[in-house]
Amino acid sequence: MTSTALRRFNPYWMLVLPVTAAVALLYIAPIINILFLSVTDPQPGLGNYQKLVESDTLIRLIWTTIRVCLITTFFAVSLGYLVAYTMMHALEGQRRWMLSILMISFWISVLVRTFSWLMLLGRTGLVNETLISVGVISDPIAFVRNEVGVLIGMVDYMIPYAVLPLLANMRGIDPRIMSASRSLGASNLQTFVRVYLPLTKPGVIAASLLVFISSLGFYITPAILGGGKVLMIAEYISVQLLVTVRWGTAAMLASIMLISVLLLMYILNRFMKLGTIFGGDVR
Amino acid sequence: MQESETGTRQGPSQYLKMESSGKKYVRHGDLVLQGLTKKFGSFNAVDSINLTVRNGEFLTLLGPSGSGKTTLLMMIAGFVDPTAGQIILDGSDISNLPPEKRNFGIVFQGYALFPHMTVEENIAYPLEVRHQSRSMISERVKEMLDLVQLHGLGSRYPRQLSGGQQQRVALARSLAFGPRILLLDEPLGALDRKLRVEVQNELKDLHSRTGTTFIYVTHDQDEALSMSDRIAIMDRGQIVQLDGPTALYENPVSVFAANFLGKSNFVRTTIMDIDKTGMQFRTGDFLIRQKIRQSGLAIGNKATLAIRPEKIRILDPSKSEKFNNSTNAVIRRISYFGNVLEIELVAPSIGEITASVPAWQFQGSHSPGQSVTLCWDEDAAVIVRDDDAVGET
Amino acid sequence: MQDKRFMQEMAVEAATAFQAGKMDRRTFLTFCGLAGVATLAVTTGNAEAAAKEIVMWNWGGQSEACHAKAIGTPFTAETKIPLKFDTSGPLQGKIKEMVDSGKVTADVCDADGFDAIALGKSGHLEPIDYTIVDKKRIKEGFALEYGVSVIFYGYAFMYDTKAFGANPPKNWADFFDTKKFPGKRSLYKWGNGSIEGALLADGVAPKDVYPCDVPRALKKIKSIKSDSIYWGSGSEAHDMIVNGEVAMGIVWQNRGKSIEEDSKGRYKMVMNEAIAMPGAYIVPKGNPAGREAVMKFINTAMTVDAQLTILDCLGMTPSNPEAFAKIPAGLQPYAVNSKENIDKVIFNDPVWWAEKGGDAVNAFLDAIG
Repeated sequence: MTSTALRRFNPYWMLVLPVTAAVALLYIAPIINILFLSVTDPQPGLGNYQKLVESDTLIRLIWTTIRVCLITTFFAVSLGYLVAYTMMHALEGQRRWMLSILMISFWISVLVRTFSWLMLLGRTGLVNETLISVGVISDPIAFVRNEVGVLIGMVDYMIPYAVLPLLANMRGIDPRIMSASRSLGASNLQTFVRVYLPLTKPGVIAASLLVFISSLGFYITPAILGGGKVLMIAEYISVQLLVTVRWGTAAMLASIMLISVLLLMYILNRFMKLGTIFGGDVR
Repeated sequence: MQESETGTRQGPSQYLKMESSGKKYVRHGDLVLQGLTKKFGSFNAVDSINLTVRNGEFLTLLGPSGSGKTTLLMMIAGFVDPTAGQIILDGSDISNLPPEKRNFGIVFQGYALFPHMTVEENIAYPLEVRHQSRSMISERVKEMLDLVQLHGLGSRYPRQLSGGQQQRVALARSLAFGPRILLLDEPLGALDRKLRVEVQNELKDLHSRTGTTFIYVTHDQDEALSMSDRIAIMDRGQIVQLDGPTALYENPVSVFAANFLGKSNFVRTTIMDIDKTGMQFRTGDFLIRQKIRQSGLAIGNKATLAIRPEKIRILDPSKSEKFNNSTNAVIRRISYFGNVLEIELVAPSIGEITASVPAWQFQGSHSPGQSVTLCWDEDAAVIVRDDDAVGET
Repeated sequence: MQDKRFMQEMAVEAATAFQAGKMDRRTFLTFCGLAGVATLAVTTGNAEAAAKEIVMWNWGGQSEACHAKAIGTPFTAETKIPLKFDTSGPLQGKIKEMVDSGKVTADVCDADGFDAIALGKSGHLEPIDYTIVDKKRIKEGFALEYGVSVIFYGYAFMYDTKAFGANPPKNWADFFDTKKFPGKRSLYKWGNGSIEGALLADGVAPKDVYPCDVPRALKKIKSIKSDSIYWGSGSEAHDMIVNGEVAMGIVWQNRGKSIEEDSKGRYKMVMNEAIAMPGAYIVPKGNPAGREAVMKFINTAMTVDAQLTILDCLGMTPSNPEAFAKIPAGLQPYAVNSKENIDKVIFNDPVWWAEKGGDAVNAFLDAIG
């Protein structure tokens, strides 16, 4: 172990030492502070963590967060799969366009997108007004200001996060394998179900974990599109930090989130090298 | 096969005409391609090909990259839609049939094994999608494993196998469902040289044991020569020559064919005389006599002669008078290939000539700069179409 | 102070920043929000507090210009001390962090009454020096030990005259009665105003609202839960009303005034039983400018002129009783402390909120979730 570590040691690492130290100081120190706070505020002990099992509010909060994130993950990855699949089977020029559009939407601020949904799907939004004016419905449909709205906003935001790892995965699959399946007598559907889907499993898992982890920290979208009714962990932490000043609770929840995310990242890394998700493989 | 080899003495153009016109030659199980064309934009990848693949034969499509051989194979497989023409099997046009309905096995370049399935699962796949019974499947899988000598490796995954073993799995998988025709797309490309020769023998063996029609795509002339019943040499989307290996090698129709299958020397001449026993040619002051009978040529026509390097003899200048077709030359370079020596010569009369001689015979006896006499027999040369020469018929 | 609630939720602060084109702040705040934890490390803000200046920590937007005009100009004229701003919003948690970290960069914070009580008790604030700040200039009962109620704002509700024009709602009981007044409702998502309103609607007498019976209030709030949506910022409250998302909605009274004006009276505000909130100027412990300078500053803020300028500029109601009488007629219907409204409104009890507010907010969040 030590000998391999020594062999792997590269003197160029010395060059990034100052940056590493800065990161440690500016990033890791506050995290340790958070962990520390979670067992010391308001009094030392595991009182904050005890609330996790005692407080229905916290249990519901965590459940809401997990539920919303799971549903978001399901839809974002399903739709992202379709997008990635279409891109893989499009002509080279079309694919470049699709990737550009995807990247642009990736860079549009979450706020702009959230408010766009509000304008589009609100009671007096474009969709409801149109449906009412053509007589499909008489009362506006509540697309937003509820959990459905949160899901729409989050799924929309998360699709590019799902597409990129899926694309990286799909790019690595030899198209001849699917041809082989066809030549062996399998229909398109059989080929998809028995060959393509299993081969994209690592991509699906990586995309799911990435989307799920990113969803956990969602704050603005649930706050606005949820109409205040869909309280997720990130917003709750912020309220505990800034409004009710229950830093112990906030720190405890933050620690739980941190540990869960690290755990998921560890799993993610086993399925797909993290670097390849956004790395050089994406042309 | 025997008859096709004998039937080609008249030259390939006649042969092809016979193919397309004579429906009576088509038998059950023959695959007939009629005017098969694939255009990518204005580029003719495959240009109006007529070909009958005989039931049970081992046919090789041989050509350089870009010659259209793989596109042709993929059209037969059903993965590429023809721009024009038909693919006919047992009297029905299968051009529009999807690949899975054609019942052709394909061995892909790189094998395209299912990496998430074991060897057994790979082989069972075509049977499972055909909803065969469980017992039938396991029996057949075992049979196929035996056929390709992979018993005991059934539960391994492809990545745990060597290249040669993967190759055999691919073969077993594509033969498991008893395909009418097996299509092989450069299947040996990924193997090292020694293994390649081994697998060639196995393939040939497999072909004769299964009796399945093999259509084999390669750019490797050795593979083509060693395995095929017939070889179709392809260039720029067309079949340049179709014949058995011996006939192809001995009687190339063009400079391209002569060069692509083996090596050749070319001598550009003018026909001086034609008689019952052969023809006389002239290049500069050098007169060449060959026992060639070929219709459509007249005295005064230009003709390019192709002579295989191994048919060039190198003699001591003092003995040269006894032989026809002999001329003085100087050795420029000698390359050693173990079994043969390749001797590059420059003859004032006919230019650069390469000779290939057994190494054991000549090792050490010749050296660059030496003056020699070279000659060839009267049946050594053939007239070939010179694709590069302008205004030639 | 108008923007205090407006900015109280970071998402929406981000929204403002976005609308103003300040994308970098948005990024910063999004980061804080998403990380949820990073705030501790970064809330120190960007104001440089040197000895000879007063740094006011407020909520940005219009309030920066209004505070400069109303208080900064006369204060600087008198003392030669310039006024600077940190507009990142002095939430209780941020003030606590700043004092705890030992790097105090603000002199005076535009906060709430209950912040003054809570942070005073926990030792994060300088006590107010009433030898400098004139107690007579403060509404009775709101000259707190650790803060001065410079202005008042209020939680009132608005209704759509198109829906209820003939028989308009008059009080919280009507607001919570979705049978008599069908339609959606919008409430403030962190409880303030809604809890008091619910108690009044449930029949609690105005004088008995405090201490709040939170379970009773939440029961009432839950009774209209299926018809309710909740906002976290003034602009969101505004949008919900003018976009027709709700038939009635709680607003900050100054925001209500602009909605009435912008909609040309289509949406009307009900000031009856509005919950009046004392805004408080508080001084973080160890403020850089020193006690004397900042106390003078607060005293300047209490002058009638400054108070009326803030009313005119931000719609916040004066706390100085002397200024009550001078509220212009046009602003009377919207001002908490105007003659017309002062007896109809219920004054928030900052002591109760300081002690029980945290639990109440969490219980409220639980109830609406």
